[in-house]
Amino acid sequence: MNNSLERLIAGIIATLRTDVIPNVTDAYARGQAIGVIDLLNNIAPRLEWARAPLAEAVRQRREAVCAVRALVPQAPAGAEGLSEQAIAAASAAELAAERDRLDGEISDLIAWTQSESSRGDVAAATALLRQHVHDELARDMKLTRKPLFAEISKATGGGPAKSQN
Amino acid sequence: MSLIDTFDGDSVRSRLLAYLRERVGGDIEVGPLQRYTVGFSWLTFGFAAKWSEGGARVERDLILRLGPPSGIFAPYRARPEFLTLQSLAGSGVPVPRAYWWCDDVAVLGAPFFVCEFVMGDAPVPWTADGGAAFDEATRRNLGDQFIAALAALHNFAWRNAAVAGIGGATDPAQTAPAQIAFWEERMRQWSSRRYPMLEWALLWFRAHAPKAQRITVVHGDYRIGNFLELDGRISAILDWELVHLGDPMEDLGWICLQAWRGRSPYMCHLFTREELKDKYEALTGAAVDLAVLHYWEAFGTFKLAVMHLGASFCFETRDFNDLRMAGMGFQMPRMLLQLESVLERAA
Repeated sequence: MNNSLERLIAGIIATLRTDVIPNVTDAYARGQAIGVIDLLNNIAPRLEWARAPLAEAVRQRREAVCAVRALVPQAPAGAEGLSEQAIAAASAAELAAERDRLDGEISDLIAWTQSESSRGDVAAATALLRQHVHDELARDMKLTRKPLFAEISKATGGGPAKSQN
Repeated sequence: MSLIDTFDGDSVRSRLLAYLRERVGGDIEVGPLQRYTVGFSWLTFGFAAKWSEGGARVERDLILRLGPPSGIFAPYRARPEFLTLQSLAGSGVPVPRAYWWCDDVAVLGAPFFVCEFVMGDAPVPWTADGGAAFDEATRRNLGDQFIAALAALHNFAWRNAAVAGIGGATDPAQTAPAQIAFWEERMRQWSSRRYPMLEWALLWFRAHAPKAQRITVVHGDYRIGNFLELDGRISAILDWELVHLGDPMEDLGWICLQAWRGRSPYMCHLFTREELKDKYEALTGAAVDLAVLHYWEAFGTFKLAVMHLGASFCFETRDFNDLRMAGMGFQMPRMLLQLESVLERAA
């Protein structure tokens, strides 16, 4: 789950104000940190999540659902989603909601295939769902940077101060 | 919601002082509270205290642990952790001495307990290059102690001790279903988005739930990062907030998570899976079924992914501004790919 952009920016600003700036002793660095807050305040109303990856996520999920339903038309139907026209005009938030709805539908299809005898078309549908889930995670990983946990631990740790976490 | 700011050391200190006066039945000096900024869940403050006990003057460095209303696992309870520390005192499990506890939020604004300050450093699983956290001699030395403490925990005769009251599953057939239900409930609470990989995992866990060979105290978060080391000795096992009664294999599976070893071939940077199995079996006399170990490793990976959802949820909805929590949310694809991989190995 990614946090909302609004909350992320509010959290970054709050951390700078409360935890960082009071502990910055160099005057120039402190001014620059306040400059970061100034920029974030102005960037915030102009931001939304990138639309292209969300549109692609929706497209991949719709294709997977269509392919599975073609194999197992007897599977329970999902809720009505956005039309092609609506997707073309959708905001990033609407696309994210449609992606989440489709993830729910795919989850229901997974549960259904697991409850059926795993032969023939059901087995093929299961394989298709499994491949889709993997491919989507691999695609998301391309947007995911290595976490800086080691650097954070090094910065905050050392000695007894970290010894009672 | 409490009106007491549990993050404010001064506010907490004055209330703590009043509470401790009642507990020791007399005067007590409490020094300034120093907040340690590590950990994601409980708040940790260190302080010095002086009081009289049986006519003798006592001076101690103590730790106050508070479960804030904004924390991931809120609402918290201090009692299970306190009872565990109290019961394990003097056992083969190195734990801080526990002094007092209170689950009444009117006292400090959150459940809390006070325990002994133990010296030591907490080695962490994350290294700059993803490689080894220890040299070979340290790895072997700490690894042996780490398994010995785990074996002592799992061999602890809990049925006649206070720790019997911490809760959990004591029916061997229900240990896995109880954990599945516990973490599924949190997953649904923390994320309205349904992740197909997590849903798939849940179905598999239900279909393959093992029966426990025995019931023990389970730490619930036994890993590198949750023990203290001082001069080559493990001085304390910490972070008992997920402690419960259940299948001890759950702890062994958790130790084997990819997240605790990076690219190191050693579980928790300490030992191979085979070394863990052999040494644990030798110390406990309990056989480790590798299929069951893989099941709990897969379940642990699921549990850690759900914790990532919890961190995001906590940041989003509870004004908890620790940016590491938001950072965990971005790592969900990595966690889910690890889950896929470990499920394939377990199946």
